Amino acid sequence: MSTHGGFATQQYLAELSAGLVGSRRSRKRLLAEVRDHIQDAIAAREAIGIDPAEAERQALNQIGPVSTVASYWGDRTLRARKRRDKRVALAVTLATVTSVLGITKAADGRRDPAPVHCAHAVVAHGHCRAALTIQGN
Amino acid sequence: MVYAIECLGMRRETFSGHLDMLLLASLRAEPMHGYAIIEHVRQASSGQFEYPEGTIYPALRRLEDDGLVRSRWNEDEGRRRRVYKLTANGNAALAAHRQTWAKFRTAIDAVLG
Repeated sequence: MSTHGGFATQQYLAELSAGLVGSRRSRKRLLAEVRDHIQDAIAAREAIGIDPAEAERQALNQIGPVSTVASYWGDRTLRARKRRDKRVALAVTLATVTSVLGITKAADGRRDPAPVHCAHAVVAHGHCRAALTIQGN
Repeated sequence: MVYAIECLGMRRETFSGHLDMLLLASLRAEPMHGYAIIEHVRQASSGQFEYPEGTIYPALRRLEDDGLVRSRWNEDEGRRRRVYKLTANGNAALAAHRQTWAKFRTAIDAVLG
């Protein structure tokens, strides 16, 4: 067996892959890192004379049960999703508030076309030409 | 004595907090890939900690989500590995962890006498 790991490693990675949540890209990266880790662990044991099958067994034992790694990964993914959802909710709230403020300001401008206030409204809404004309007269 | 952190019934948040501290401290000197971090912790602690090594990858990703580490694929001796590097925020977080740990140790020492 080479330091790439044998059947047990392939089986471990397949089980881990089945237990992971999250985007394909993200899962792929985790699996690649775990595979690299197992290969390094096997190579280190083989280098000190441990039998390849035993080296693989020890490496897989050290990396931990599939269910544990998958569970920690699940926690991280859930946390990342919550954070993303929070950011989206904040962005939507800000956009809504900005929009409502804009509409209110526009409505105020129509009701009370005071020339001083309209200097701002010209830029934002373009509906104060009349007010500016009155001021000019 | 070997501390099997996860298996002693330690709360997951507590375990994660300790693990974060070990990971950030390991990256203080130089960027490393996951297996090198594990080896560093093993050697520095004379093998006093035992935990499922696979849990460091979700932890590293969590630290990356928080902007405390950055990572990229690196070609090393013909092999591609994901290498992690401490950020400025990571350095600050490590300093905060150290401070908290020092206070904790001082308090325990005071009680032990």
